[in-house]
Amino acid sequence: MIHPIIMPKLGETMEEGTLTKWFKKEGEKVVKGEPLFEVTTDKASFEQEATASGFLRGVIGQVGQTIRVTETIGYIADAMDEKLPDAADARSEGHGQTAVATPAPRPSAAAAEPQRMSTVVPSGRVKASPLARKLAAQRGVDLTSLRGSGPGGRIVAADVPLVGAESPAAGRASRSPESKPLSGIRKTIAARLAHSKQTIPHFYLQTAINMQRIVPVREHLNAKLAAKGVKVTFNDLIVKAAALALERYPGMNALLEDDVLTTHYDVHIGIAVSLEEGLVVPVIRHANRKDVVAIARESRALIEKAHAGRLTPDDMAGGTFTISNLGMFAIESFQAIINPPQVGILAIGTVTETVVSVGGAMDSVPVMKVNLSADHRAVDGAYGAKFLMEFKDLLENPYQLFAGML
Amino acid sequence: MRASYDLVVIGAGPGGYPAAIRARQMGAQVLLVERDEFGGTCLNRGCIPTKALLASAEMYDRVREASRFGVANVGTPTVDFKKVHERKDGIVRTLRGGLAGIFRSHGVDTVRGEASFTSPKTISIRAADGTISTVAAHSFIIATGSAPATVPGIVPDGRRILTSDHMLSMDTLPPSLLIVGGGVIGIEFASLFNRFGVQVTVVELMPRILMTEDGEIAERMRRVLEKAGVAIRVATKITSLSQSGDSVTAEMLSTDGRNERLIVSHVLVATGRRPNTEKLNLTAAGVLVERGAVVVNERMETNIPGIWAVGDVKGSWMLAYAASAEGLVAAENAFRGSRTTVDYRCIPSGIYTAPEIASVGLTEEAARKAGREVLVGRFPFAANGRAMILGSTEGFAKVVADRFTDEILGVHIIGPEATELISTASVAMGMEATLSEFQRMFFPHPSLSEAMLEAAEDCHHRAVDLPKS
Repeated sequence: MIHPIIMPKLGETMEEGTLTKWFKKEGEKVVKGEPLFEVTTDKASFEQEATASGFLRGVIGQVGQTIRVTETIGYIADAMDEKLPDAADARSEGHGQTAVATPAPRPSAAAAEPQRMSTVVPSGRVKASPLARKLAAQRGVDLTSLRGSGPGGRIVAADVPLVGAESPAAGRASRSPESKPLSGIRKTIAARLAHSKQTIPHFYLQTAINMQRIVPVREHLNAKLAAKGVKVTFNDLIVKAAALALERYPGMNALLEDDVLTTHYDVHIGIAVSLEEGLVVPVIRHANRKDVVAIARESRALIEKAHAGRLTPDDMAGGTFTISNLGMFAIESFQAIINPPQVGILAIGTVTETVVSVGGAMDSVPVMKVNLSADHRAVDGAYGAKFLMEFKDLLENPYQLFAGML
Repeated sequence: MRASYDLVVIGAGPGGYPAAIRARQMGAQVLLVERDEFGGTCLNRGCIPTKALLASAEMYDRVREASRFGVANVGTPTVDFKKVHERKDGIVRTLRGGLAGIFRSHGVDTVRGEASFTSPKTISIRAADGTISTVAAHSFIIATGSAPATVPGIVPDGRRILTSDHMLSMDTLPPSLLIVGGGVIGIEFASLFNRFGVQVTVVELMPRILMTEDGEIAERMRRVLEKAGVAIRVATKITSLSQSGDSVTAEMLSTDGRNERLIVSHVLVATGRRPNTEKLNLTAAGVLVERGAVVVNERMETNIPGIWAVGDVKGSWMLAYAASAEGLVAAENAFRGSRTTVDYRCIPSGIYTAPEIASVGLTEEAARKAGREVLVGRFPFAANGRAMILGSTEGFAKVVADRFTDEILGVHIIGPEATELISTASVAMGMEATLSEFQRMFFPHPSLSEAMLEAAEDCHHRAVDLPKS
């Protein structure tokens, strides 16, 4: 099966979106539900998940390109050797799908342009125009590091970046360092994190979570919810699981201020959102009492607000625990710095197909690595481990996340 | 004709018909609507008929020069303009017939009539006999071209005050001709009718003729035309035109305050062209129009998905071969869903005068204005063996290059066969060749093309067939 990946229509008024990121590379394996690409509209940036599992192929949409909604930007194919639609073979400029009544128009030999995207030919020679070679030499740019946009992947002058040189006369001029004071938001982040890392005795616990069961559950759920316009992300499920685990292990759901430890029984989970200016952490309040769909709605609204720069201080206040998710990147695992006065933070890695031994047989399952950072002044290792095991159990046996929902 | 098509192309000119054929090649059901004759302005009222007239003028020149080449007993040639006119019409008819055959062989349906939108997905077509039919389509390509534009106060009547369309249907030569407008069209007609022996005056509002060309090239053309007997008035406007009997009296006023009165038999209004949009009822389709021209993105799509526009109707470029390239791009984008665009940087332009002018890329002025430090090389045809052999030594080739990268920014030629020579430069620039690649290419000897090579060498003062500068 070939599943076209289209530029989504993310709002009533959205006509086109800018493709700002591919989380996967051409030919890379993709698991349904994983973040696949990012779209930026005039309002905000949106992560888009793979709608099918397979291999990312025939990538048409280039990062930075503005593309009309519903146009095809690439394909997810079940196999690497499966034949893609004609358009995908053609050329780098990209191809969308414009619905036409004719049965899939096949270009004739005369009309087809057999062009491929290989800038380096097998002999090792780089295909580049004379002008591009000259500019690359002058600007000190390695031609092999460039991707050609000309016919047949040839590097043309426009592909050679200006390396800070104001005018070609500057030749090999390298870019000089720039100094500027930290912006307000960065100053705050710097002070808080430095204080946290220097004064809080962090300890770290890592575990791997088998996502085999939750993947189809989420798919099924989203299929059911499609009509309502709601989409549940992995992060929403993670928030729900963390909230339930925190309810059972409230020691992790605490605030430590001036030697006073305040344990909370209601869970308000902050989700770290990275913006160009810095990190913001909007809070999903009463996450333990909300069902997954409500969390999904609220989370999306908060993230949209964050990207639009419209978060209010209220949106970011009152968190009792934080989740930082870098799953959209190929980050397997990482350790986060505690967001004081909270005493714990979960760092979520990407979902990776991993070979595991199940009853002596080898199987490939989607695995997500998570790291808990905890404040040793407030909790001990064993308590943190119990919390993390509960969290793992909730995600590995995901029916628990939906108890009471129906 | 069916009730619905995958694609309806409106206008069978050089923009529309290649689009129709390309879409057909991709398997689409295509209807091509034309209100007049197949071939558009290019074939019926532009490129082809003007160059057919020009061929006769050239032949006339050659025969008059025959004795210089040692051909005796030629006598005194005269122009039978009726015959010239018939030859031109014959060529146009033949090409038109060829087009009809091509459409048939590809299976492109054609219909004669005026198209106007009734919705973004439907048009009505009014035939010459008044019958109206409605056609629905998934996609439309608007390729309705342009028509001569006029200026306030000068109303072409087709009798003595003419547009280029009228001019081309005349089968007698006017005794004298005032051409309003010293752009490409005006200057081509000036050169043509001057060669047929007509007394020609060109009046241009701007400070020089051929404003879009390189300044040096335009200046050379002015001198060539004046030497041949064409009167040129720049920075001058027509304040009034009055007809009496078989003459037209023009009052002119120059920006430095000089009044002049001119009495001619005919006036040609060559003040540009305007897009043909008014009959299309584009508001019914919601297509955005700015200053009379259809607005498209770089993929040739209008603001309404599925409606595309190519060629003169967009109000830019106005070149037949640019329209063709746009037509193919629009068809491919519409039917293959591709995101192809037209690369306009290396589109050459030609002016069919005596001698010809051709150029590609930036003029010297434009390159400097863009902040480039430029090298300029020139080579005169007077120093080119082949030009001397042909007896056409007027003109020069000029190469404009970037001082730091040797990138060829523009090539401008005024001289024999300039419109043929320029293709070499287009290819070199399209491939992003720099001066050094160009200098390493071989050009046959003796040939006119050597002048371009020498002009490239002259950028670094290395031309070997020029005296040391």
